[in-house]
Amino acid sequence: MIRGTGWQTASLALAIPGLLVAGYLTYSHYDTGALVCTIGDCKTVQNSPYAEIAGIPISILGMGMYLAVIGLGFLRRTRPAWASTATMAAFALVLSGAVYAAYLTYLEIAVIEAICQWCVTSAVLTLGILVAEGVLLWRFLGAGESEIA
Amino acid sequence: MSIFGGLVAVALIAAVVLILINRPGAGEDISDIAAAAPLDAGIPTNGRVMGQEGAPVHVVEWGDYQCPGCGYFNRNMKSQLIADYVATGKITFEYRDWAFLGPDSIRAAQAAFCAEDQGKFWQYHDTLFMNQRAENQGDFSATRLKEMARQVGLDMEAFNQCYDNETFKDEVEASYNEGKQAGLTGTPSFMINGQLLQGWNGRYETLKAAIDQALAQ
Repeated sequence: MIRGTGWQTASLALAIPGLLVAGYLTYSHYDTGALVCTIGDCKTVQNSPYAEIAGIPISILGMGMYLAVIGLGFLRRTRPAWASTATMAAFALVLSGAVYAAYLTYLEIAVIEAICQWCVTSAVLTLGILVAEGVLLWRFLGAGESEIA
Repeated sequence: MSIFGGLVAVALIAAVVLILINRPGAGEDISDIAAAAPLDAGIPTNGRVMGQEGAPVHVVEWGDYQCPGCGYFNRNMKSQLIADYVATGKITFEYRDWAFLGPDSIRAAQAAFCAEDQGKFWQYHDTLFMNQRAENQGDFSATRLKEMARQVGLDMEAFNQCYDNETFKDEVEASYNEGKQAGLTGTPSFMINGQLLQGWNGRYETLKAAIDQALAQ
């Protein structure tokens, strides 16, 4: 088993609200009237050309990442034989997501010149998951693969 | 540590690919877009007509947002025309679409109608000409038109809905047909009190002389 059940719980506990935020952003991408923004200017960010990749809202990518993290988290708990693979996959996925979220935050500040509170929330949650998965991976690498399963 | 390095490399490559895909491509680059200044608040406007109601002469410019001559007129002569004739109450000036140069022209004309719908026709109109580049190279792509709208300060939810639904498609077509019936052969073309100014040579003095003649009548 990978030591650090608390970090596994933290990863899941952050991914679930992340999924909800990404889901809300996806829903409001198609129903802009549903977008509630108390801080910043979410509509400007949502309407910017950076909000989509090839016509697909980037929040769908976020939903995919959070769903994958949740799925890998459950796999790690229920199938110890897959724990190491799940941890490596989750870490790589979330690191990728965190770098991309950093790029999107840069775009909001420097290019779009508007901040979306939900996007920032998602970026912070991604960063939190990265820390949790990073600790889990670090422990896994420190323990050696033989101690994982 | 090699596993860690490999995971980091894979993750970074994936992130870089996403960033590259998400960057605006040809015709999608918005970094050079700038908004034109709003029309002088002292100039009365009514949609795409500017000037004091009841002015003795009505001047219509038929234009295409991709037409270089229209761009030149708009950037270099229109402010003089406004100062000489519109601000002084001598003429009303109207812009009408004759979008004949291709899909970019039609998109831009439809977008201008959407801006007019929000009472910002002239600033958006000037912004289109200010950001005019090559013909049919995607300069008036949806992405760029929306960025121009954003910089002009339009309500983007309403603009996107208007533009994406091609709300003013019929109006742009009707304007083209009207210009065709009026005998247009190119842009910019001017009508002074309904009379087409034949053979305009692109010089302000020629246009000025024709307006002065109409004012003298």
